[in-house]
Amino acid sequence: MANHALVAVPSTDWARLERRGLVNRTGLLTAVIVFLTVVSMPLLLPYLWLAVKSFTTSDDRIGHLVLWRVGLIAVLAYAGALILALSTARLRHPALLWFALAAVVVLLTAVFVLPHLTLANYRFLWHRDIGETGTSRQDLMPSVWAALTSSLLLAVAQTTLVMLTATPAAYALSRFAFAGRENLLRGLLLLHAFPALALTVAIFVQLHYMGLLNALPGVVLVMSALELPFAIFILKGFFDTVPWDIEMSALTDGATRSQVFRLIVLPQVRGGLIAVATFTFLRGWEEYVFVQTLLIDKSQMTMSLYLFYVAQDSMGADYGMVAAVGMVYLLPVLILYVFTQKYITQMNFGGIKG
Amino acid sequence: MARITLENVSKSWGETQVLQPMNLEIAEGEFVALLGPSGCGKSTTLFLLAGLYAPTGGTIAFDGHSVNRIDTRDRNVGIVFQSYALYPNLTVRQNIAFPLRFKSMPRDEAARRVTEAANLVQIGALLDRRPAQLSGGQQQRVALARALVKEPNVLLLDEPLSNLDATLRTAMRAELKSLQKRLGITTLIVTHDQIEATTMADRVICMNAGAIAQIGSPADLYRRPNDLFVAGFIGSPPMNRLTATASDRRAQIGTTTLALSAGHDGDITLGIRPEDIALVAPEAARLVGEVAVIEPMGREVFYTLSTSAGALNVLEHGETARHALGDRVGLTCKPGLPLVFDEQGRRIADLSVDLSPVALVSAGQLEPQS
Ligand SMILES: Nc1ncnc2c1ncn2[C@@H]1O[C@H](COP(=O)(O)OP(=O)(O)O)[C@@H](O)[C@H]1O
Ligand SMILES: [Mg+2]
Repeated sequence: MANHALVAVPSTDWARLERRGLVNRTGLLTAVIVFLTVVSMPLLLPYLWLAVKSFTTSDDRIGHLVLWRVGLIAVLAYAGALILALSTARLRHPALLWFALAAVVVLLTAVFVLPHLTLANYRFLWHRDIGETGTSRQDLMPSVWAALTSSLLLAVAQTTLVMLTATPAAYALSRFAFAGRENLLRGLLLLHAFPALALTVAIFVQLHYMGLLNALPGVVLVMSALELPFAIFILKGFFDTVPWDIEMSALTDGATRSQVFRLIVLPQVRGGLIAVATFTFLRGWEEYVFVQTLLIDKSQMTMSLYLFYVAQDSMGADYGMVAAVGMVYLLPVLILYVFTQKYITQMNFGGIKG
Repeated sequence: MARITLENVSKSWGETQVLQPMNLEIAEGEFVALLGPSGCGKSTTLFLLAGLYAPTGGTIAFDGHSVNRIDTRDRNVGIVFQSYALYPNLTVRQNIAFPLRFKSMPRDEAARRVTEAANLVQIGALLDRRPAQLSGGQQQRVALARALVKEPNVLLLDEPLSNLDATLRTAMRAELKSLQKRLGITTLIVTHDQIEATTMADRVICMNAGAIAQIGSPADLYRRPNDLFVAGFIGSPPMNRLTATASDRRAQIGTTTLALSAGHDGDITLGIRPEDIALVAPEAARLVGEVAVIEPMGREVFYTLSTSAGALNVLEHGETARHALGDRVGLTCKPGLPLVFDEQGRRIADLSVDLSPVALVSAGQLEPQS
């Protein structure tokens, strides 16, 4: 249309714009992957180190060798997984390639790593005489199974108590307008922010007079009281998201208040209940200070104390065994997270509102 | 199915009185609309009937028995909430069956009633979905089925159509009306949309600021509004208002003087609907205006006229405008109109202003007729 070209319109270079778009997209993706990888390294390395340490003898040379080899295999697996994930759309049998990658990783591990590993550090699982020094420490150290049971008892009891108390409290705070409601909410936040350690001595004396010192129920009560404000506050946020209309509707449908609560309201805050219960459980599982202070008799030792005593060997700590105990301590937490992480991530948009 | 009586029923939240004492009677099987602007207390009235709120004063009776002390769950009312209030954790089938859980009813009987209610509102195919997987219109049908499945004494609908798109709303309007007639359930529908109220209901209760402004048939409210509020709320486009001063048998509107049908003194407001005004030649009318805006609307043409008394809207039948911008036209209407309202905004029955066409005695000369 040469005769129309009265004004010089710069023609658009579509090919150049397309290239630019491609560069921008790949650039962004690369930046994101590199960033996430770099940030994850310091988070994941200690776990890798812990695992390697727990399965190797105390010989440092072997430890380093295994660590390097495992690290290399991990990098290889990561790179392979990244390539596979990015090119899934173009591959004909992605499942087959994933399988092949897994096989290669397993094979490499079996050949280069497995021969150097040992289960000796885990001997505390079936052997109470962990120092292998005769019988001297047997009276001091309970079996790891007793410690695991104590920790589990503590965490489960605390979770049960907190959930049974916090759920109705949070519901009432969310639903009923009563005098002092705002102040109560403010108080909850303040209580949560309060450094509980400052109360240790007072709690010790109080438990002594209550006859609950040196008993697991005492620790459970103390821990529950400290965890309650946070649990109530978070759960209230979840109850706030359940509309009034739904409850009113259920009432007109013939349900009683408690039926409405059980059948309609609770199922809608299920994610919140699971998330808060998980956090409460983990707080009990990891607790060190209060069990250390309030459980004088070491026969009721929890896992945190067990780990501490294993590390406190007068003959020099056996780091392989410390790592192995750490692994045993960590495993239940990881399993719990696998089942509940779906609900914990929901807390972002369900929970926290005043 | 029940007859509902409200006797001096009022409601306050703390210091603020949300409902003035109100009296109301709804006959068995009647379809009544509660119409009013947002925040005037319609939902509150509905929740009082359902027993979700307790009245501050007065008596609510079903079939002559006071239900003031009867729990919500024993009143057997079906409510469709504005938000539909479906239970998100239950399937559609479980939602509809929920009210039957609390009645001792054999399983197969309950299942039969759920299917029946679902078919009634045409959602038989959706029974195994969750509420989140339904469109707004479908959710509304589920809410309706859930309200109907318990064969309620009274059906309460709180703005059930306001969350639907325009086409669906028109369709649901007709469907609700025919459903109500078929089932014969006493029904109270709350709405702020006057078209919904007048198209569906046998009787309309018009509310304003917590008090009943008028109760009557849709035609009553349209033709004989008690006051300026009802006159302005019902009808679209709204009624024209002209302020005037009456002295004896004359009313002064702008520069025009019109005859009154009876003696009256003081400020008055004239009300006339756009479709009740006829445009004639300027010589043939007592009130004259100039065409300022012309808006063809398909079946009708909507004019805005400027007169000495202010702007007036006129709706005239016809697909094309018969007048041009700037034309001078005369405004007339049937005898008995416009309506006249006093200083407090109440309609003065039997009083009217003469806007009838002028009999042309001789060209250019205007003779008042009586
Ligand atoms: N629970 C309540 N507490 C205090 N005021 C309320 C409550 N419920 C409603 N109101 C007030 O009562 C008035 C009427 O509300 P409502 O009946 O919901 O109006 P409508 O349904 O006509 O829009 C509003 O001004 C509202 O603010
Ligand atoms: Mg409302």
